[in-house]
Amino acid sequence: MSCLAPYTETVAEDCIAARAELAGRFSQQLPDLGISRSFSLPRARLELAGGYSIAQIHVATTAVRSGGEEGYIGIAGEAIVPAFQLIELRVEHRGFLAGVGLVDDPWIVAAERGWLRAVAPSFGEEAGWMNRSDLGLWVGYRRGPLVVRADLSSGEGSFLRERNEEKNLSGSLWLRPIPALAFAVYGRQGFTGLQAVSSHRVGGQVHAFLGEENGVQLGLEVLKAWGVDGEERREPLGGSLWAVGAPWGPLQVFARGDLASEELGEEKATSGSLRVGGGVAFGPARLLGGWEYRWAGEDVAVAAGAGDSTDMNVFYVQLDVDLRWEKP
Amino acid sequence: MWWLLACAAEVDEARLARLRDVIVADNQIWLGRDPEQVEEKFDRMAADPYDFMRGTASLYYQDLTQPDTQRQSTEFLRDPRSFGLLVIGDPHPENFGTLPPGDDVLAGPSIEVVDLDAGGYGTWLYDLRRSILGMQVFTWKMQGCGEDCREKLARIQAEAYVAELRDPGFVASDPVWGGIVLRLLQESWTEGRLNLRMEEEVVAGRLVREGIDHGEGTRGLTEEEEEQLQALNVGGRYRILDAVRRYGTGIASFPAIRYTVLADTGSTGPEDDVLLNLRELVDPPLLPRLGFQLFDSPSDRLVQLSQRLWTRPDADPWLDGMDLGSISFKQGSLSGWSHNFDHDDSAKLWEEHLIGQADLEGLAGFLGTALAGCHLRGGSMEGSAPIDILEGEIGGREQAFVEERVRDAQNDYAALANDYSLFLMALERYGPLLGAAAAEDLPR
Repeated sequence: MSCLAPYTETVAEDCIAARAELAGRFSQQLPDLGISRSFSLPRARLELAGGYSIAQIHVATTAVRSGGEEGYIGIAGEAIVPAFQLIELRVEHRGFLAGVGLVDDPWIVAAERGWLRAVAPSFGEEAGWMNRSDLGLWVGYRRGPLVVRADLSSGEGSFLRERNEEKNLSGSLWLRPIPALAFAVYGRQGFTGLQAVSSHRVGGQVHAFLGEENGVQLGLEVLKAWGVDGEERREPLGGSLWAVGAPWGPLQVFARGDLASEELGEEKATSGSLRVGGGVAFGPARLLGGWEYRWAGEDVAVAAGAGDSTDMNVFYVQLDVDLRWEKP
Repeated sequence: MWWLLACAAEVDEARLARLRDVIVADNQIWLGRDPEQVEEKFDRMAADPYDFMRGTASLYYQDLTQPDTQRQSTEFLRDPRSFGLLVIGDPHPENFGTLPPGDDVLAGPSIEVVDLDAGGYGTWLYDLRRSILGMQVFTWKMQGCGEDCREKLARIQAEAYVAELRDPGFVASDPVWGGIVLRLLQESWTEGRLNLRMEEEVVAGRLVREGIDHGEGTRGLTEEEEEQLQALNVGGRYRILDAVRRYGTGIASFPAIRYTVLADTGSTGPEDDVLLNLRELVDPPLLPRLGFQLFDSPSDRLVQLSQRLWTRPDADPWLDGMDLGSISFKQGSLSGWSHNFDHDDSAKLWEEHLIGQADLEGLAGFLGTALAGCHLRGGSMEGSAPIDILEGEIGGREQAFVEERVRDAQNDYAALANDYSLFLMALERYGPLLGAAAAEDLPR
C-alpha cells in the first residue's frame, strides 16, 4: 500500500508522501523545418499526498509554457509556470470511495498503468480526446480486484473554467482478476464549450503484467469519441498498443503504435504514430533514446491533400527520474 | 438581412457551436478587460460580411487544419517546405495601403501590406486562398457582381500570382491595375503632399478630443495611459507634444489599446511634427504549418515582417515595435499618405458607376501580383529560396492550380456566407457577447 496509490488501489492510512517525476529531452525532428533541434520537458510533475484516517489529499502540479508553444503573450515573457493537475480530496471507508475537487480522470489513470509516461502521454490524452483531470466529484466501490466508479465533472478539463450548464457523467470499471491481467471499461456522456457540444466517449483497455522484476508489460487502449475539440461532427475511433520491458537487467525497451481514424476504413482519414526506444535504468533514473514516426492521411493532415509531405520523424535522448518519498 | 434570418429553421447547430466557441476564445484576452469594446466589435462584424471575415481569421485557419473528411483537398502542397514560408496571414484587400514616398517624393507612395498582425511562418497556399476570399467578399455589396464575376476575379487573381512568380516585376502604380488602385494612389498623393491628416487631427497645436460614441472616437489620456506612453517612447526617440487614446478602428484588433501621438524631434517649429499611431499587439492566429520558427517578441515579429515583405523596407521611417512586460505595441506613422482600400467606398463608387468590373479585375490582379511578390521576398523557415519551393509546387501545372483556386474561392465564399448568417443568429440567440459574459462571471 502506498500513500501515492491511484484510486484503483487502497491508499495507505495515516501517511505522507511526495513524488517528483522529471524528464528532460533533446530531440531532432526531420524534415528539418524551422527550429528542428530543441530541448523540452516531456514530464515535470510534482505530487504531494497525505492521508489521515479515511481521508486523503492529493495535490499535483505539472509545468506548462505560458502563452502556449507558439504564443508570445505569457507570464514574464513566455516562462514555464506550474499548473495544478490535481487538487483532490478522497475518502475511503469499507470499500466505498469518493473524491472531490480537481480530480483524476479514471481513463487516463488506468491507461498509464505500466506505460512510460515520461516518454509520452497515453493515447487518449495525447490525441486531445481526454482531459487528464477535471473539476468534479466521483463515487466508487472497491471489492477485491474490482473497482467501479462514477464521475460528475465540468467537462472542460483543468485548464478552462466551466462554459455551460451541462455536466460530464461517466462510469468506469477496473478489474484485475489475476495479478497478470487487468481490464478497464469506460463510458462518458460529455459536453463541452459555450453551447454544450457533445463530447461522449466509450473505451476499453487490456493490460498484461508478465514476469516479476524483469517482466514485460503490455497494454491495449481503444477509444471511440463522439465530438472532439468542440466539433460535434467528428466521431473518430482510435487506439494504442504498447509494450514495455526490462528483460535484461537494467536495460529497458519499449514500443508503441497509435492509430486514429475519422472514418473507419478510409486511409486518407487515418493518422498514426510509431515509437520505439530503449535505455538503461540506474536507480530511480533512466537514460533513454527513442525514435518516433508520425503520419497523417490527407483528410487529417495539417492541410487537406498534403498527405506524405507532413510525415515527421523525431529522434531523441532523454534523462528521466521518478523520485518517491513516503512516511507511513 | 431578412433572408439570413429566414434560414433560422435550418440552423446547423454543430457549426453554430463551433463558430461561437472559436470567436469567443479568440477574443478572450479582451473580454475580461474591455467587454464593451468586444461588443462593439461583434456589432461591426454583424453589420457587414466583410468585417465578419476580418474578425474571423482564426476560425478560417482552424477550419483548414481541423481533421475533416469533407475538406477540399489540394494538389499543391507536396513539399514540406511549403508549410514554412513567411506569409501575411490575412491578406484581404483592406490590409493593403499606401505609405509615404521615400526621399524621391516624385516616385509617389508605395502600396504595402500595412497590417501584418496575422503574419508569420505559414502555408503560402492558404495565404493566397485567404487573399482570394478577401477579394470575393470585397464585392459582396456590389449589385451585379455575381457568381460569374467572382469566378473571373478568382481566376485573374490566381493567374496574376502565377505570372508574378514567373516574371517578377510588380509596380504598384502600373495603370493596368485599374481605377480602384489608381484612386487609392491619387488620394494618398493629394492628401500626403498637403499633409491633410495633420490638419484634421490637430487644432491649435493639440490633438482633437472627439469624445467616444459607440466605441469610436478619441479622448485624453488617463495618468496610467500617460505613463505607459512615456515608457513606449524607448530611448526618447521623439518628444511627445500631445497624445490621445483612440477608439473604433480596425476590426480584428478593434478592442486593442490605441494611441495617437503628436510628436517632434526637438525643433521649435512645426516642420518636424509627426503623427504616430501606437497600437497594442496580440498573438496572431495559429497559421497551419509544420515545424515552428518564432521571432524574438511580438514587436520583433512585426518589424521583421514589414522589413522583409514590403517592397521598400524603409517605407515607414517611424515603424517600430515595443515590448513592455506582458504587453507589446507597434508604432507607425499616421499621415495623409496613409490610405487603405475600403470595401464600402468601392461599393459606393460601384453603385455610382464610377468603377466597373474592369476595375475589380484590376484590383484582383494587383492583389495576386502583390502577394506573390511578398512570398518571393519573405523567405522560408529553413532557408530555401521561396521561388524554388513555389516553382516546384506549381511549375508545369499552372492551369490546374488556377482551377483549384477558383474551386476554393467558391467554397470559401459559400462557407463564409453560411457562417455569417450563423453569427447573426448567435448574436440574436445568445446576446451581444455570444453568451461569453455568463461564463466570465463565474467565480474563479
